[in-house]
Amino acid sequence: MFTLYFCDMNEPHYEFQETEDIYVYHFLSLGKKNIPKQVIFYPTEDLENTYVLAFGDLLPNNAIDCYSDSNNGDLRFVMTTVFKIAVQFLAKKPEARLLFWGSDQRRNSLYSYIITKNLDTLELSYDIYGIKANEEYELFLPHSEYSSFIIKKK
Amino acid sequence: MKTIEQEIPDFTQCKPYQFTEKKMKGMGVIHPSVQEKLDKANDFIRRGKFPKI
Repeated sequence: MFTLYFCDMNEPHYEFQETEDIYVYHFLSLGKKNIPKQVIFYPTEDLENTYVLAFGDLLPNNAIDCYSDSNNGDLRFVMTTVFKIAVQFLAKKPEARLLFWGSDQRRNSLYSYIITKNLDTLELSYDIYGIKANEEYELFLPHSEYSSFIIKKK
Repeated sequence: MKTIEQEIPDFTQCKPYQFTEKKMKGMGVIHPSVQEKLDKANDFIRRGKFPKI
């Protein structure tokens, strides 16, 4: 079941536009309130094909706040959407490496838990690395503590 | 407060929201929280810490 929801790109969606440097996705969180969310893949300055995944509430000035904690009661929907967007991005840019981490330890633990929970499926198509607190890296190991994560297509 | 386990997405129960992609005009407005992420990532890379993968 997970594979269907995580990897099936035939879910209903709006039309896409190709972008040049930065990929931006947005969606509406339909929890207690309607909160526009945005996911941006920012290219890093000195390393080709390496992007930072930034995600958060979309503010009136069109910026996103990665620290926002809207507590909108729909975390699983939001996280599924973000992961689906990441999968879509990697499908469009198969050479890309995504660097991401949570804005606090709790969110980082959540990301780690999600990856762990779905690792068998993820490993079929992606290499996932964990960056440890000492900045050393390793292939992602379940239930390990990491300060950030990298995912790329195999 | 819910535990991580209670909040973890159960992908068998989820149907993702629809989402769209739009073209950015330049970098646009960058929130300090995002700038902090970008600075951290770029510093990590400049110091040669990014894995050779």
